Amino acid sequence: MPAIVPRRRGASSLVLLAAVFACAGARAGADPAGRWEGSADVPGQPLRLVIDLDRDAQGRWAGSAILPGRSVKGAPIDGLAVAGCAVHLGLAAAFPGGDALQPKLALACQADGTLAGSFMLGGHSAAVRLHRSGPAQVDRPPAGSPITAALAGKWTGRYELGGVPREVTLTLANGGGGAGGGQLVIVGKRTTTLQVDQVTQGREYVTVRASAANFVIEGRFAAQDGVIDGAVSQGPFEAAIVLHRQAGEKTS
Amino acid sequence: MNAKLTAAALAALALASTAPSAQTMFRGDPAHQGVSSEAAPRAFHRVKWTFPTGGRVVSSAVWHDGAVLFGSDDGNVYAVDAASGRQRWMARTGGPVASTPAVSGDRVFALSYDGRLYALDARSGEVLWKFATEGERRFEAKGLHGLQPRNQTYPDLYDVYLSSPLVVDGKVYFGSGDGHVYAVDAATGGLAWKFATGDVVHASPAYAEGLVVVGSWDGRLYALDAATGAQRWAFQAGLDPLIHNQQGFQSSAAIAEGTVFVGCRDGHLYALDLRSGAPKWNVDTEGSWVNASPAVSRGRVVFATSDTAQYRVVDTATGKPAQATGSTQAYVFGSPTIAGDTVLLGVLNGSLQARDRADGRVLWEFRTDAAQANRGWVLSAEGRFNSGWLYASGWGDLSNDGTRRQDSVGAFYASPLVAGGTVYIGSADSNVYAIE
Repeated sequence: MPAIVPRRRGASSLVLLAAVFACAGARAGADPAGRWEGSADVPGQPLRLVIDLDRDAQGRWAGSAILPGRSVKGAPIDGLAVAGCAVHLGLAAAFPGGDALQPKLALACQADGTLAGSFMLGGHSAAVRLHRSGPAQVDRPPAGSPITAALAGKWTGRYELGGVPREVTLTLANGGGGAGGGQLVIVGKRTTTLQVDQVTQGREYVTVRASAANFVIEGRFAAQDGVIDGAVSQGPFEAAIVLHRQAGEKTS
Repeated sequence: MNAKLTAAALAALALASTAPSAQTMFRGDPAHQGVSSEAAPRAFHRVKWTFPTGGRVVSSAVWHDGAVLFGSDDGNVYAVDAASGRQRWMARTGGPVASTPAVSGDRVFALSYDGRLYALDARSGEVLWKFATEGERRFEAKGLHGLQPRNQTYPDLYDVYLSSPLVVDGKVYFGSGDGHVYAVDAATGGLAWKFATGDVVHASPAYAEGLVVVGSWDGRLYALDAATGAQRWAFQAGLDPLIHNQQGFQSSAAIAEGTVFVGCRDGHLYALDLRSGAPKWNVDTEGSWVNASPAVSRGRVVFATSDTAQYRVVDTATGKPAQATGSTQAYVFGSPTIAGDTVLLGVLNGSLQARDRADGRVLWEFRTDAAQANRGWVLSAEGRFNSGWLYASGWGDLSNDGTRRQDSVGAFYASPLVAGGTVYIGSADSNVYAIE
C-alpha cells in the first residue's frame, strides 16, 4: 500500500478543548491586553510572533501581529474573540494567500502569566507560548479620510500595461460614514468594475485603494488644474497614469 | 585515411546503426513520446532499494545493460546496478548534472552545469571526450515573477533542468544556457552545427522526419533541419514583458502522428503541424505553467500542470478532454511516463503517483520520508504546498528560501523509468528510489 501522511482531522476541536481546560487553571483576573511575544513550535520552522491586544474606547477588542523575519509588521487580526482569559484570533492578513492557509491562534492565560495554546495553519497544529513584554501597541489599519469637493466627482485617465491600453473612470464621493469611497471602472480587453474602499487625501497627495483587487491609484493632486498625476499599481505591476476631472465636473 | 580517422568513422557507423530503444534517453525515444516499453506495477509493494547521492536528483534515469544511469546535482553521473542498488561507476563533472543522460551504443552523453557535454564509456564511466559550450546559466529577468526590487535581475529557481541530449544517426543534439542548440558528432565530439535562439535553451530536443524540435526561453519553438541546423519554422508562443512569468519553453516536445505536442509557461499545451509549425489546437490552462513534457500514445496526450496541479488527458486530434481532469495536489514539473495500463507521474510534493491509464484514478502513491515528515509544514495536511507560509513576501531573498523549503519534502522533478517491473526515479531529497 502507498505510504500516506496521516490526516490530522479534528485538530482544531482538540485545541479549543485544551484552551478551555487551560483556562480553568489560569490566574484569576488575568487580562489578555498587552504585547505578547514568543514563538510557535512548528517542527523545523519555529515561528516568532508578537501579538498586540487591546480594547478601544468602546471596550471592543482589537489587535495586530508582527512576524519578525517574515516582513510582517502590524498585520490586522481577524476573528478576534476574547472570553475571559481565552483568546482566539486569525492571522490571514499576515500570510500571502492567508485565507487558504487559515492561520489561527487559540490561546489561554496560564498560571505563570503566559498566554499558551496552539497555532494552526494548513491543517496542522503546533504549541505556542507567549510572554507579556509590555503594554499593547496595536497598529490600526490606515483609515480613509473624508474627501474635499475638489476631489469628489468623476475622473478619467489611461494607462498601459503589457502593451494593453486601459481606460479608467474613477468616481469618488464621501460615504455615509464620512470617509471617501467610490467606484473604479477599467476598460481594457474586458471591463472590470472595482469598489474603492479607501481614499486618503493629503494636502497634495491622494491615494485611492480597491483592496479586494489590491489595486491602487496614487499621485499628486492639483485641484486647480483638475489633475491627479501619478501611478496605478497592482501587486508588482505599476504604470503611470494622469487622471483628469471629467469635462463638466466642477472643481469648486 | 589515418588510424584515428578510421576509428572515428567506425565509431560513427556503430552509433548510426544502433537503433535507439526505449528508456535509453529522456522520454524514451527520439520523438519523446514518453511511452515505456515495459508495464509499471499496478500496486505498490515495497521500496527495493534507495541510492543516496550528494545532491538533488532532477535527472531522469535511463537504462543500460542492467544498470540505471542518471545525473545528480552533486555533479556526478552514476551507473547503479538495477538488481542490487550498488554503484557500478561514478563520473565527476564540474557542475550539477541536471539533465537526463542518453545512451547510444556503448556511450553515455550527459550535460553538466559546467557548460560541457560529456561522452562517457557506458561500462566504466571513463570520459571519452568533452564538448564545451559558451557556458551555462539559468533563465533570468528583471523583476522575474513579480519579485522585488523590480529592477533587480533574478535567476529563475524554477529553471531546474538542463537540456537532455538526444542521439540520432551519430549526432548528439542538445540545448544550452548560452542560447544555442548544438549538434555534435557522437563519435568525436566535433561540432556539426549550432543554432542561435533568443534566450536560454533548457528544453530537450525531440526528433522526427529529419527535424529537431526544441523550445527556447525566448518563447519560440523551433524546428531545425537535423542535418544542417537550418531553421524550417518557428512558432511564437506567448510573451510576458512585465514579469516574464508567462513565457518560455521549459517543457520538451513530443512528436506523434505528424504533430508536435508541447507545453509552455504561457499557460498552454500546443499542438502544431510537424511539417509547417501551423497551430492545430491548444489547451488553455488558465495561466498555469505546463513544464512537464507531454506523453503521447494511442490518440491521447497526457500532461500535467504546475500551479493548478491538474492531471489531464486530451484527444490528439482535437485537444478535447478524453477523461475527467484529475488533481495531483501539488505542482508537476516531472514528465509522465505511460507504462502499460499505468501512467506514472512525479509531483513536487514528494509523491510518485501511479494512475490508471484508462480513467486516471490513482492506483497507488509513494511518498518520500521527507514528505511524510513534512518538517516546517511545507505541505498542508492534504498534501498541497502551504505557499503563503513558504513564501513570506515578494522580496527576492525571502522568495529563494521558499523555493528551497519546497524542495525539502523530496520533490520529484524527474520522470520515472520502468524496467523489469521496477520503477526508478530520483528525488530532490538526493535519493534515487527503486520501487516495485
